[in-house]
Amino acid sequence: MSKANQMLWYKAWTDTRMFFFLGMFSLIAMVGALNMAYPGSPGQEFPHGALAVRLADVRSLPQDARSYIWLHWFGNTLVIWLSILAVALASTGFPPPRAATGSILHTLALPVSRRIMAGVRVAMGFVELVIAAVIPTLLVCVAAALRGQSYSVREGLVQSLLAVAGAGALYALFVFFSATLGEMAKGILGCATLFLFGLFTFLVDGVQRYSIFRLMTGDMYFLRGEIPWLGIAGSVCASLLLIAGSLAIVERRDY
Amino acid sequence: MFWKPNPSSGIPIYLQLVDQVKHAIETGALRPDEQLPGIRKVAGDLVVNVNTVAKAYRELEHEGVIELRQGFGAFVAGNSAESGAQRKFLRALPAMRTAVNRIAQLGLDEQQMRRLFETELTRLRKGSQHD
Amino acid sequence: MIEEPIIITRKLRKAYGRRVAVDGLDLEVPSGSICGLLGRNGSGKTTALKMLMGITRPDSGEGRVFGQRINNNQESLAIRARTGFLPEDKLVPGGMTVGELIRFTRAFYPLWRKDLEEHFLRLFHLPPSMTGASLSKGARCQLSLVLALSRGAELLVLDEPTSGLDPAMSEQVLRSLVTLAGEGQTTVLFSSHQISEVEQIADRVCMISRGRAVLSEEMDELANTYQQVRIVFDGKPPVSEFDNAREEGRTLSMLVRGDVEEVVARGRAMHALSVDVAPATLKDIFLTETSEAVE
Repeated sequence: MSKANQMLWYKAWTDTRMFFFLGMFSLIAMVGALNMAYPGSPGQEFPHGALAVRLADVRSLPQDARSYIWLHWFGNTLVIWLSILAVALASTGFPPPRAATGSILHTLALPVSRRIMAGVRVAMGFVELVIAAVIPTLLVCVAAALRGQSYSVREGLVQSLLAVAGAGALYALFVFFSATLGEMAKGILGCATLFLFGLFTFLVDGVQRYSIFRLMTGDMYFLRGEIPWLGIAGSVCASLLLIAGSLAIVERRDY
Repeated sequence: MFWKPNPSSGIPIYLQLVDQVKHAIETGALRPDEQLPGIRKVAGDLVVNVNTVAKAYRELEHEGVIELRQGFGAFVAGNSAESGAQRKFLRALPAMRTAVNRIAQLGLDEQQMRRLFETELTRLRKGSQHD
Repeated sequence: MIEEPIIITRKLRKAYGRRVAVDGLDLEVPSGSICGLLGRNGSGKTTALKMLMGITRPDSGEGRVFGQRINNNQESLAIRARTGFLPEDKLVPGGMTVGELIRFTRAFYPLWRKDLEEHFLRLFHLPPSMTGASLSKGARCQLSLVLALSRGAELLVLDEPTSGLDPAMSEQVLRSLVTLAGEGQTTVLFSSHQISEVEQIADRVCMISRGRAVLSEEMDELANTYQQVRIVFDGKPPVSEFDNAREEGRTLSMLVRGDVEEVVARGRAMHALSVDVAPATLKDIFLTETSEAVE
């Protein structure tokens, strides 16, 4: 990789590393909390169902470690935290033109195409999202093993990647918001979107089926070993479109 | 060697430099055949445009005050006319100094002394016109 | 053989909604010159410079730097590879330290001048391990300068290069510009609010007023083109007979562009008591040519 490209990745890293570390270490701390709260009682802890897990599914879970981990970690913690991390990572690095200060002007005056600069930035955030999903998940498997239980590493990996597929779409959406809206509008619309997504997922059964949060829990895979190809495809397509749109917009903007 | 020219004085900077070089020659700071500092050095020291210094040097060469020797630099012209001018200047200096001291003792201020000098110059000029 | 100007724009226009920032700007900067850009706040200077760098897109008109079009993505990139830009507000990316920022910027410019980088770092005493965000205002200005001037660029586009610097540092920066241009490989276009700076080092001046160039000339030509004329009359001065004349008692003062003999003759013909002609300073010219008063 040329020195210049190395530097672009390095800058993307310095721009995002704070959020990445915060997110990842929060998740790792959650692993500890998860461990300590076992076995708990799913029926009591989630009387209305978890965020994206239907009540019926909650009730039907056997009382074993595997279900416990799935419900708490994949069904709850990872969905929420990874979503938050995705939003955070998408929010830095794309200041709107009105806030264009010397700091971004310095970067814009470099002999690099904006598409590449923004592309590297987006890619870096996504890589961090993957790492923040996979590593704590592996730790969950390790923690389970230390306790004498087991959670299949293969399942854990597949499920963490499903979580990333979902969070990735959220990430792409918020990257798009960042590229198109001003700070204030972005904040309001962003919060509203998340809130509404979450609300409808939780309350409305029909929405829950198609919700991105459900994709992130990987319930089909957990319950029946089926990989939700359609969901993944939808998420990936939406992400690619949003990212491509964002890059095109950033390229054209006046700063 | 040179003072910083005043960019806002209304006199083009290059002319100020021309005057400075001439003054330097008259007072002996620069001698015939002595080398002037390089254009870039002068530009850097005085923080003025290189082209401005170049223009000053060209003007001085045009007036015969200095010579530009290809590949070597700028040198004060060695002709006797300039050294003659320099000698005359140095010889007139004491007479002027005496006059100025005497007039100052009479209590005139700078403005008045200047006006006095201008009056005398004008008289001299008018006088020579009648010849 | 006359070389093509390094920068040339024709009728450049940029509007933000209803506000027209740049309104048909014609600009020419010859290769190897130091060109000073003067203009009041809001005159469109910064927008013009940003358009040259491809940071802002012109609505209409054309501009070329090094012969490359400024409104074409690829050609603009080629321009930026050979240009050092200093933005108006001297903030730098906050996440990296001074040292990291220099290494970061350096990676994009193969012709980076390490000697200049070291010269400026010594001059400014910038601490290499402080982050961009925690620098003082003066230090940020200095860092921006290091980053812009060390690129080994053929063209420097500097928006108020000495703002935020004390007089001693300003002088050092001006000296660097003079030296770089003097070496023959660099052209400098800088905007400034300090008229004396422009007078000191520029060999070309361009004045912008309300988005348009009201003056674009060699510095040496200005003395020939502009003069201050003061005419004293016996009674009330005929102020309407002369363009842009200021009336003070029985005296008319005006800045004359071009044929000053004609104005002098007219004054004498009107039985003026005295007519004085003096060279115009750049400040006089600036204040007159960029005045917002509508006749």
